[in-house]
Amino acid sequence: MNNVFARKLRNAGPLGPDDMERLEQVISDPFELGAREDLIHHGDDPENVHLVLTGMACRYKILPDGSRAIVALMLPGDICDLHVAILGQMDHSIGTLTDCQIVRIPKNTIADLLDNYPRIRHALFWSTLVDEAILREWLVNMGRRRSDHQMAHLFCEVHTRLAAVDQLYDSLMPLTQEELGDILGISSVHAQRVISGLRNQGLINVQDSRVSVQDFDALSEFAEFEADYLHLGEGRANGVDATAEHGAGRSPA
Amino acid sequence: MSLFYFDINDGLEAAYDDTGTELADRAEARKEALAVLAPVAREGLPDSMKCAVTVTVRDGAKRPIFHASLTLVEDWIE
Repeated sequence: MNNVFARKLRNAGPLGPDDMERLEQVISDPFELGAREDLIHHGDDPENVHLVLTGMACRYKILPDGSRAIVALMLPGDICDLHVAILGQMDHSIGTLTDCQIVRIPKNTIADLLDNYPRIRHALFWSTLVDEAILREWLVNMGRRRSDHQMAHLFCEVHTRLAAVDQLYDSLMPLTQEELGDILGISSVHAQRVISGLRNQGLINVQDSRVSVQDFDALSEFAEFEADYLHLGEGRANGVDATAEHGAGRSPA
Repeated sequence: MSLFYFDINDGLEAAYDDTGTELADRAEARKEALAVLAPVAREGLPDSMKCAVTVTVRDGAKRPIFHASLTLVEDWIE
């Protein structure tokens, strides 16, 4: 299965052949966008929802002093802005961090998926709830964890999320020192100090100012990382079966 | 933009910066140096404050150009 969108949604539960076919159509016309380009600006009233096929994008806000706060990362398979199908004006901006392949999904396609594809509807609802869970974890991270634990936790999360959609090619995080600072709410200089600290402890590698995870188990122990909030493989884990209305029963406990 | 290096001693360990950070100018480098002192001190408390938390900024040629330190004074009253 090459469809990274389907791979992501399958973490919520099984999808049927008709779902797969529809998702294939949805991603059939991607476009390329370079790094550090905006997809939507704060205040826009967009007509399309965006989906990341390759690369990494982020949700961010610019503060009056010009500094940037990154409040979410969108990895391959992630929908950037499902809420624009319901909410009006954007209350934040979305931009690429790396070169990306993006798919524009018209609002009426989203409506079709929600109305006519119950398993996809379930999975989209799941992905929105997981986005919220990630935001909660980031809030805890920012408010309660030391910067070194916070950064280690972020690396564990990105690593796990990439692995969940089979996109973990070289464990390399395409995040710069500045971007890491904007995610963690610390200065660029502080971020650099934290990166050096994690590298000196043998938890991460740094090549050409890109970070890769050296020892995931040690890193997640250091960060006290528990992947439960990502709710991966949820459909299998709790017996939820979105196919129930088609006659397929719950799997036995 | 110029490269500046920030060597930070958190009171427990002296970290020599071999990567550096791109910043607009010396004034920006001073601001960054001052801004990093408080969070580094806070995260290391209480151990870090047995001696001062310090930062030394070096320019692109790795010459020291700025130094700042943060000291906490504490005493039991009784």
